Amino acid sequence: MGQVIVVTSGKGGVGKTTTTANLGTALAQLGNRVVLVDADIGLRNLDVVMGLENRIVYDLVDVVEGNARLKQALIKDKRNENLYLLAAAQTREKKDVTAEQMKNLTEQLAREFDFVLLDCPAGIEDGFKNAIAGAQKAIIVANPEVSSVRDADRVIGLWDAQDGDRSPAMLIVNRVRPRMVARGDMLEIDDMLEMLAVDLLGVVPEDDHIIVSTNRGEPAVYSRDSKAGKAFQNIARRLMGEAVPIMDLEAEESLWSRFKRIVGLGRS
Amino acid sequence: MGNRRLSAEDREALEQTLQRAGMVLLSVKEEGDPVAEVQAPEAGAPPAPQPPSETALVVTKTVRSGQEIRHNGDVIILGDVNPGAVVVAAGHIVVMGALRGVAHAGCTGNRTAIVAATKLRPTQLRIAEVIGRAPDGDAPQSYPEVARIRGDLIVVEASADKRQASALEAVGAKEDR
Repeated sequence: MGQVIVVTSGKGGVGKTTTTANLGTALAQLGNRVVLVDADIGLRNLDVVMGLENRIVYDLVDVVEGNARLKQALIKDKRNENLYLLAAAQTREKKDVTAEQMKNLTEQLAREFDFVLLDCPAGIEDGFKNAIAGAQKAIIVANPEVSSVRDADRVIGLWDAQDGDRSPAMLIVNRVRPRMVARGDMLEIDDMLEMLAVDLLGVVPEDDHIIVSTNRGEPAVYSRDSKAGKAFQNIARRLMGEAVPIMDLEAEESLWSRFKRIVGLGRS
Repeated sequence: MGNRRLSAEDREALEQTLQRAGMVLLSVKEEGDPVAEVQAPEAGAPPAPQPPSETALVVTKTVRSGQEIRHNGDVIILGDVNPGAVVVAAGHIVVMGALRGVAHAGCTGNRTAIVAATKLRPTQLRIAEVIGRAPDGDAPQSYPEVARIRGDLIVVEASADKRQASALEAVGAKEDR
């Protein structure tokens, strides 16, 4: 049986879809059979980020309603044959799917795949409840800002309150700007961990590559010089049980800015 | 962090803390799942007056945003109370951790109730009908502190050395006068 992992955050716009796409791709690159499930029914995005929008014939709601078999609805990724996507329905609503249906669906997928990654919608209403229903693990994505941490805390509380066999939530701190953290303008990761009291799965720096790759429908892990892509690759290896040290963003940053200063390009 | 069990050392530390605050630990009610004590907040309704129970409720978990602990006696939390979380007790509230949310001790009108925490950084403190918040820009202390009513204000003092007392800003009715 594969692992069913939900990627969630409470707050919108912190990088759930980006994380799901990149982590899934990185896991597939490492030889795992991976399926990405877009649980954001009515506001689907994951297909766009993966560049698979034009291949959707059947979606998640078609499967749970019996209009299509699961095999028919799974879209094979265009670059990696280990990677599949189950798209969300765009013309339907969250309440068209029940938690029970989602649970059955993820159970079915876990039999075929090593990793089932669920891209959870923002909020803590029905869409969220459906998405976490069948998951054994939760990845909480948070940005180093107070409102995001507050929502992450709320979501961790809801995750802990669920019954069933579930692992403690894991945290990915996304969109970190090391220079702002160094100046004290951004929350320190240690402070976030102290407050949220969960294990740190990874730290992902803010990276312009993400915007480019999102628009192009090509996850940043394919880009060789994307720092965020590298961070997601490390996270994928950690999910597989490898001990990979957390990237020291500050050290890299200061070395780079020092180099720029020496060659006379530095702004700081 | 996260899940905590009450070990013998914990219990001893707890008894000492309570003693300093003038309380005696009568019994410990260990809850496997403190979430069971969490109730949906009633829309603006004050807690229904009930006969105070003698047992202290011990919560061995971090109380997170959106969670609410209500108890008809003293509440002891072995963990943090995060911003957005609410703890309401008819008696005292003791947090063996950081109190960053809202705490309301003596909610049925007991003005002698106290709120104590290893790190006392509440969003807001309420004791009986008095509401207070930390003055803006107030630097948080790193030692355990106790909040209690003195006169008509909530006053925070170090749990060991009572000379370092500081008054909280009044919130609500008093401010409007």
